[in-house]
Amino acid sequence: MAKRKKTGDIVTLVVLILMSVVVILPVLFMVTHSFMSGNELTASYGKILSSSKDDEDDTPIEIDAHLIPREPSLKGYWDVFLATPDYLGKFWLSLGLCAAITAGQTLLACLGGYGFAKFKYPGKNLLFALMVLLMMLPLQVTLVPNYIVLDKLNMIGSYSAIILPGICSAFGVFLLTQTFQSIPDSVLEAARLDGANQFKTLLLVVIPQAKAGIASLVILNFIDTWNMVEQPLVFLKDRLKYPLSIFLSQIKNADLSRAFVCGILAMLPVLLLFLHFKDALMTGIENSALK
Amino acid sequence: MKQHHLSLRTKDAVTGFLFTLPALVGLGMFFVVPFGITLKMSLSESMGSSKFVGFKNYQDVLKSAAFKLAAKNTFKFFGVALPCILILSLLIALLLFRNLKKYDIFRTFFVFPLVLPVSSVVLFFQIVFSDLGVVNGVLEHLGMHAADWTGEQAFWVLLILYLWKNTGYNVVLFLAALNSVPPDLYEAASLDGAGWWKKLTRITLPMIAPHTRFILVISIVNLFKSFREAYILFGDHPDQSIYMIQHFMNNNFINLNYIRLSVGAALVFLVIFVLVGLLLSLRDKDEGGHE
Amino acid sequence: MLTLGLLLSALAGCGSSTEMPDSSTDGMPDTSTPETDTDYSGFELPEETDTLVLYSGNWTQSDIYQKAIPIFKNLYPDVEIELKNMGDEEYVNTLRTEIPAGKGPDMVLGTSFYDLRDVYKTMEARVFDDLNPYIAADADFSLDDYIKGIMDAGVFKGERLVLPFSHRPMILTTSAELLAEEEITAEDLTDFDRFVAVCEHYRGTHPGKYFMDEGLNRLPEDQQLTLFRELFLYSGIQFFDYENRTVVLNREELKKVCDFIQLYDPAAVESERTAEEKKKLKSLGTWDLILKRKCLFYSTQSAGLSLMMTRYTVAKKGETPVTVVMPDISGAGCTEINFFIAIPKGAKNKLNAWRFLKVLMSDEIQGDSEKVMSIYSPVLIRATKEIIEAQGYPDEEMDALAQSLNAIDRAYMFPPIQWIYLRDHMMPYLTGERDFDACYKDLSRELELYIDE
Repeated sequence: MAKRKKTGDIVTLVVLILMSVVVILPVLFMVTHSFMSGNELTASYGKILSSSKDDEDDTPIEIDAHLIPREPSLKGYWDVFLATPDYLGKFWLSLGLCAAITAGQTLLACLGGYGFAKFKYPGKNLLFALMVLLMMLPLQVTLVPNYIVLDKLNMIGSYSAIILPGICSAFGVFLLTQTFQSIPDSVLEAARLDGANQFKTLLLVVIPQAKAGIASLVILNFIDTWNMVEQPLVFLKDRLKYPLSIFLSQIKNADLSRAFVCGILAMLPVLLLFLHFKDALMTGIENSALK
Repeated sequence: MKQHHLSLRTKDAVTGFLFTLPALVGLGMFFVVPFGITLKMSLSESMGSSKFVGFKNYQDVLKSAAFKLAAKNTFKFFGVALPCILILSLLIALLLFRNLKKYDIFRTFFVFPLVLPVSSVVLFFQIVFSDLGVVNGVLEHLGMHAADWTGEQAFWVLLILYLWKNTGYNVVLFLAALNSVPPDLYEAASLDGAGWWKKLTRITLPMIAPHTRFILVISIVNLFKSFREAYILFGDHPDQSIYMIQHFMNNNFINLNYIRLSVGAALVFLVIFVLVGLLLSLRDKDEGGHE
Repeated sequence: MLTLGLLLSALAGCGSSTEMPDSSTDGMPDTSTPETDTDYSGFELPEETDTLVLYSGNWTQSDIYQKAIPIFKNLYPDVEIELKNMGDEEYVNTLRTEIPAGKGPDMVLGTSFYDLRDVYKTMEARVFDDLNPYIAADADFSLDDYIKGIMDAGVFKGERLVLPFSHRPMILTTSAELLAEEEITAEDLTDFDRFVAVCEHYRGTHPGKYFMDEGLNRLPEDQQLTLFRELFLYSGIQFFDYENRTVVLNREELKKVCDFIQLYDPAAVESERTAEEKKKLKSLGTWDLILKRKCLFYSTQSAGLSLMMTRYTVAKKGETPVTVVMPDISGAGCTEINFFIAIPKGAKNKLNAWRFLKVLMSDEIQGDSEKVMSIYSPVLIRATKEIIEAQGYPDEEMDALAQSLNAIDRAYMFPPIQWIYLRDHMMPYLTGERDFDACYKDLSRELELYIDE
């Protein structure tokens, strides 16, 4: 019996390790490739990734995928971090934009989530359902009408054209409604009996209990904002104002070593944020399902 | 007494509404108004004239073979991808749940794909699945025929991409759901001599059913998002097997045909409205049952 | 409440902001009536404003604008031009969002290969002004000055929604001596069937030679695809009736053209050549292909009229150059439009946009063979003649070329995806891997879906 349990454990472990490899491989791939030289990358993947037709003679017919750099090089990092100050500038700009959007969205979601989770008013469920539905609209649909609205509000060309719609996304409210629902009503009533008003209750009772849910919102919202391409491209109308994500999507495959390093650069803040909030995020996502 | 109770409820309702108001105004401005514009356009003659033409545009789009194919493929993809991700993530969650403490590190691994920027994901998938890519290299090495991963087999690449990106997210949600099942239920079942299978089907699955609906909604949202990777990987006009509603809409966007785009959006919205509305109403009934 | 107010104002706004300035077009019949029958007398040119907003991507557009803006400034010194230079992706996405939103530039100088990928479908979306009333109201501008066959490509359901700006014809160069040796007459080069027969005969009697060469034998295989694309395009097959959203591809015509392209057969030609010959060919100057009798025609479709180098060489070396437009399946010539001009319905400064359009269509720009038309051909009939004559050979043969260019009766703004469909579905037939009808069936299915998107 004990032996059977042990083999079961080993099988579980093996399956989990295999699955983890599948999941981690691309991340590992990005990291090791960022240390390869441009030549090595072109030699290995030129045939499928190179968009230029000029260097026909140099590109081999086969591709040669490998994980360990043969001639490790920091040239890519040099190019991105030191030779082109642009990227770092954009990096901080992006960080600022994402921070503003995430902060605003979190505030709005805390209020909205509290209202949806802990109160009843006529039409509430309908409004909630509408919100969840609007969350699913694809970007191409909202791009043109959003332009019309932003233009009416005279926001085209300013950062508010990116920040305000970002703040008002339905995702946060949806997530925090789920999270707040998991807090027992008895806790809130106790606070109210102690004489706390609604804002105090939210600030001192609900939010501390939902720290995890808020952390998950911060991370997931940050990821979305960090990867945004179309909205800044169309609404900002000024290359100097563009965030890093646009540059990242424009590097394409013309310069492979730069593409990999920029991938790392783009991954970094999300990864750090994720590691920082890891424990909170795990329970955070759990809580939203607990409701 | 009754009077007092009623006014308290009214006061409560007003407070709740006020809490949700900022979120609702934001949503209204940047989602409801744009969607209203979309609906209006879908009923107009052309961009230049706001002449009302009723449902003529809808008739045109519904007649379109491309739209029908897109709808069919989208349903097919949803039909395959949603069960796949739910089952896969549930299985992994069950595996991890057997001994959570020991396997805690794997939980971190499964959320890793969320961190990678879109362009890096695309770069990796290009290397793995292009005609000369890694997978075909391995297949040929094993003496099998190379497959056309950008053509006939693209459906599977898209599925793998979606599963790869989102399974980790769902695993954590399922773990949370599993945690919410009271352990004494299992103990009681063990005393009754119930086996592993019986415990799963009689206790676990029914208990986590309400959570599953929330996970399904999030999965659908993520499914719509995964099409962004699909454009970059397979282009605007991919193989007919993966030509989806999103392609139909995006191509009309490219051609500046906002009328057709908005009709497509309105139809998609209608379908999601019915499906998600159904889901949410089921959820609300559950809530009512618990009270 | 705020939301509701905004909703109402936005809904009201999006209608009025995109309203057309002219009301006369309302009474226009919207199907198949030739545009000349319509009365535009009620139309007046839009009112005067003091700015002109133009967007430019990284394309040759900026070169064209650079040349045209000083001319415009000279004519209208009081008008301020706001030229916004953008990156490619930004340019394309901005156009796609702003034009449907009723905003954007006052005039678009577009291409069908990049920004507006299927112009006909964009025309169907009715985001551009009908230019017919402008033309009718402006005595300075006459459509008769332009190549009719090309200009008509911009008409959709009777409305002239885009105006072609430049094109790329398929010009073949050879020598009269070579033609005589092969017993080919001038008439053989004006009819598609006879042209194909001539090429077929040449291939049969010269196993190691191409009937048409661009020096392509020295490039890797996928570059030869370009020639396939050109042959498909310039044979003038009609694929779609965009106005009725139907596929009009004719099976027999497609078969004819495919069989013609099959004659090209690089694999067979290359196998006939010895390694030594190939090496020799490599060292040969491109212009010598005709003089050394390495092919029947030298094609310069990717070059403008001013770059007919082969013609120079042929003339210099003592032979008589012959330059013709490749005949298409309907008889005259077919060409590809690469730039076109349109005025968005939501434009704010339409009069200035129209004025700028006239500058672009004027002799100064159309006839600028050094910069603007260095790799394209103009649509202005006078300019075509001027550029050809400017080459210093104002002889009869050049007159004939100008004449056949101006007689071009079919023009396309070829969407890139159409070529991808052709390549993917017809290549297996061209290489002999698949039967024609099977390929044709798949292609038709794909085209049916595309046109109905």
